Amino acid sequence: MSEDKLKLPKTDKSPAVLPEQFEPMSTSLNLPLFEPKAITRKNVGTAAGFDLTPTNPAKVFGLPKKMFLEFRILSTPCSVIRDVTVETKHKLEKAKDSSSKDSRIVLTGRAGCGKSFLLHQAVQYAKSEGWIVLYIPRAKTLINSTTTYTYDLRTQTYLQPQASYRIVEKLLTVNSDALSTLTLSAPFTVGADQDKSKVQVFKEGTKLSEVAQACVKDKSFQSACGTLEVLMRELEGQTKFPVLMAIDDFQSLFHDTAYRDPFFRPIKSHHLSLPRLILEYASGKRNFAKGAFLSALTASDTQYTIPLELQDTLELGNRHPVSPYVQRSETLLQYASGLDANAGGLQNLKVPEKFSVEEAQALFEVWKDDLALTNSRHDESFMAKYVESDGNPRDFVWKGVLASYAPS
Amino acid sequence: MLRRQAVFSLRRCYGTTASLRQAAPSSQATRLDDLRAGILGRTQQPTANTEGVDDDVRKYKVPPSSPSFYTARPVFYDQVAQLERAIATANNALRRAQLLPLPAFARASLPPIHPVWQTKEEMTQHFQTKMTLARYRKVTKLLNELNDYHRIANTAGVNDLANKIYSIVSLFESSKKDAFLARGKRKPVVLDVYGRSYTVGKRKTSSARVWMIPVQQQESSSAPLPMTTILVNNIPLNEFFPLPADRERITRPLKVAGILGKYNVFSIVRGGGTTGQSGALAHGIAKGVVAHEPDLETLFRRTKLTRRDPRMVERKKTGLAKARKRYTWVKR
Repeated sequence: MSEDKLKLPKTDKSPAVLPEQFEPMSTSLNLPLFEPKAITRKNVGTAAGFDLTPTNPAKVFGLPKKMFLEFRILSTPCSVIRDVTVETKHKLEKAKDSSSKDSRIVLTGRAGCGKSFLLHQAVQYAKSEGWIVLYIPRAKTLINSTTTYTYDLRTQTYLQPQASYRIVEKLLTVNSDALSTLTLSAPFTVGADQDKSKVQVFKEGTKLSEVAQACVKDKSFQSACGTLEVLMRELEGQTKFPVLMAIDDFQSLFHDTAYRDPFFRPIKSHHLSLPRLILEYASGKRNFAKGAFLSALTASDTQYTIPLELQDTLELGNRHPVSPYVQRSETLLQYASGLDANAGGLQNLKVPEKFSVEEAQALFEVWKDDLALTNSRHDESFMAKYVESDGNPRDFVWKGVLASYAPS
Repeated sequence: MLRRQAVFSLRRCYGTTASLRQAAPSSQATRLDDLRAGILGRTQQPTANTEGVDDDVRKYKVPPSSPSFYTARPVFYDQVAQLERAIATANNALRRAQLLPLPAFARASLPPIHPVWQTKEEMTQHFQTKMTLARYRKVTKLLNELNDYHRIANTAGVNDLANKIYSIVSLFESSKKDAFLARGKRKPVVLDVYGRSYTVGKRKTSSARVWMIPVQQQESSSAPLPMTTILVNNIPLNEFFPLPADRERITRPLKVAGILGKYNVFSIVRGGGTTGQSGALAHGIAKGVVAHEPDLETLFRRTKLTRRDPRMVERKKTGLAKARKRYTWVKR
């Protein structure tokens, strides 16, 4: 057992004892809770911990990989409140009462500058404020052929039953209270395509949570795609709860997927049901009556790089010169820019490249209090790590604080 | 100068004549010509000027200005004689001042001297004779002794004597003395108009040109902690050096000096690989730190930060696969 190595060795008088700090689920971090009233200008540069309830979006929807690993090392999941957090909160407050068409935001910035963390903070904020939250932390799992797919003749797209099932399940778990207050506006038939005897009809006025429950119970994933579609339609129409659709790895939806069609050609992402759904909300073709679409790019993925269409429309700037003769896909350009040019299409929210010194100090203290530092000269190592990482949040933690060669 | 002194001292012995007063050329050679012309007599009509000279020459036997006239190298021997006289005078003066003979402990406590005499070629010009090694050694031996007396007088504080000795000794010092004494030492780094230092660091085959400038401090009290920014080839440090080991190597000089937020660094690195470039950059930063803070020079020398790492790739040798690797030994 790994805990045996951490125990203080036994003596004549006492047995081997595991120090209190190394007990599982013990934490020496006393952090304030990450809640909407804590996100203020005054609190910029302080760390706040996320709540650990079972319906927390982080637990249910999952997390981006790097964030997941970080929270596994930390004794409690937490993050630093930055000035962009406050800015995003204001944006979401404005978006609460307007259509998602006006609030389609993409978080951009250098690799490791905190886009995924900011998106996660927005999700936590929205959940606390009572929004209906749909969070997809790793959008590339929708296109890397890890779930099943079937061709649907009616819609002429490829459906993804397994992935749709997972999303319905998670949507229900996180938003069960809200979904139990919302009802169907039109009758909905399930299983019409398959076995006639197993057709289930939901009347108008049925709770959405019941519809979702029925889908979750049916483990064959047959009804998942249809249920998800109906749920999304209902959420679009209702005005009781604002809806947040939060997508991480957004740039991966602009690539060819790993799925193959019968001619072994890679299937385009907009021909798969779930990526198409996301792209439609992103481009404004479909909108929530109240809510927002928030997405984050992943700059450090070499398999799914940020495509030229997004680079052009979001004006991200190219490290290397790009030829104007390189072909950009018309369809993807449409999805990137949105149908209504007047609305400006996708908004680009630039996440600052560097931590400010206060924010870095807050994060450093979190790791220090969590007994992660080997060097006892804290001031010097803080300044050295900040300089070495040039303020980049990811490098500051992973290649700075946690990867230091400096002896104590 | 010595020649004039010799003339004035000899005047008492030989007496002055009108011809000697008249004829005061700058060089010994023209005087000799005049005298020779006067002694041998001129066949041409004597001019008004020379007539008096001829008369004087016939009346008095014009003695040469110095006894070394009859040697082949009058200037050389004059100078040597003057040096010997100066040594004697200085010796007497120091004895009168009870500075000679100097006890062993006092002599040991004297500051070291680093004389840089003119080269043989330069002295050839000075003495107007070809300076062979023997002559050069003779002269430098005398000069060294005089220099030693100068050192004693200087240390003792007998300034007028020290100045007089120095006035003689300095005639023979090389013009390249400063350059020679500063050989092998690092050229001091000068800060430019904007307070920037420019230094070069090297490691293996990499070189780094490093500019360091102090961070502009904001006056307001609520200003955040100033932080160093390091740009390498116009790219931030964390993008250029992904390895934590390389990054720590680069910030080590700043950590050791304790000046992590004080200076901004801009550098251009070239050649070699990642680790070589990081070492070169660290070397350049260390030199830049010493340029800005001269008090840290000893500390950095002791911690070997300003030392250019001499390790280079060892050459391949014949009969070996690589620098050290031998081919597989075969028993038969």
